Amino acid sequence: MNKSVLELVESFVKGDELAFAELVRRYRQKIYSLAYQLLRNHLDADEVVQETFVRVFKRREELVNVKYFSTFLIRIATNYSIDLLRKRKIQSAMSDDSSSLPGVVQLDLSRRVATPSEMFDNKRLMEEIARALDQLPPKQRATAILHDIEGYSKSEIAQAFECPEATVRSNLHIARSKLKKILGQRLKVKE
Amino acid sequence: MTCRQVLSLLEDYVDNELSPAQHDIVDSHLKQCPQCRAEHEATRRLKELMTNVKTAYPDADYWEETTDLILARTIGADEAYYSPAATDNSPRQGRDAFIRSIISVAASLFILFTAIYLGQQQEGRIDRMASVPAPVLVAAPLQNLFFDDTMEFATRDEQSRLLNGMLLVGPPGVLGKFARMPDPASW
Repeated sequence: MNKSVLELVESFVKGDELAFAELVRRYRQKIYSLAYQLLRNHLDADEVVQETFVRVFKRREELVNVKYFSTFLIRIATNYSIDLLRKRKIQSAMSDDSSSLPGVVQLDLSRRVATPSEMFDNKRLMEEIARALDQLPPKQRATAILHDIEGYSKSEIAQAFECPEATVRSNLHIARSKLKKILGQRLKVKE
Repeated sequence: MTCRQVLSLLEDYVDNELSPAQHDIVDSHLKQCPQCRAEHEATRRLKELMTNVKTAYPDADYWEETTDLILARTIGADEAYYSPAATDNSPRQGRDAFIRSIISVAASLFILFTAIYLGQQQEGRIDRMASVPAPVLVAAPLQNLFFDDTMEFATRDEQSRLLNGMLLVGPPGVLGKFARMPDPASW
């Protein structure tokens, strides 16, 4: 199916079930990644993926007035993830053995094969970044993840959160400042 | 440009969101100012680390299962939404539904009045039958009938044929013998 997202959304709103299935296939990994980065837990990320699409289906009439389907999805996924985050207070998630879970965070710092010590160092660094992100309030954390990890623009995040772009800039600035403070020495480039 | 002004633009500089002119100004300031350069390095390094954080996705089976689950919870639970009748909201559909309901009501009324008419007809027929004399088959347990010479044995089929049009007195199943019926011609 080579239809554009816009065409698929229009067909979906008119009741085309194949269009909805195609939208699920196109966006399921993006939603999983966002949810996993926010929640650090495969089961929760899985729940977010399912619940996001179920909610989109239930709220399909709203899509008529939605400019960008992706920001509509991000809004639902992020809000649901933040709700889960607040509800479950996942502060100890990083103490779990996350390497046994399917959605392990990995660092791809260079394309060459890393030495064992570099791999160990990368793993530790990954854990430190995750721990630092865990210390941020949900909205700042979501903004930093959406912008710096998932690669969404500030205007897309503003649309998703239904707030001015200036608010996104402010949240991102505060989040980065806190992360720099937490990670401290780790951000100094080795000569 | 002062350090304070440069620091306020530093994140946009790292995100490549400055105009070429602003970019050049920040660039030249960073070459001269070690404090701002250190701050820029920390911001750039953080961005680099964050950008390189990757999510390792579950395998293909997970995606298929999850998609099936989502479709079962949405399309599967909402078949009515996708039925052709539900998606066609044209005025023609409304008119067709109205005509169908009228036909249904007319058919129901026809069946009702036909049943009333036939019931009345049947009632008159039953009244007429009540005045017609009919042979009566007297049934009794076998031991009561066995020594009566006027009794005859009959097979079940014969009994059945004989009973046709007669009024049965007694419970069914006790008929082992029956009284010879008078010739209907002598009635």
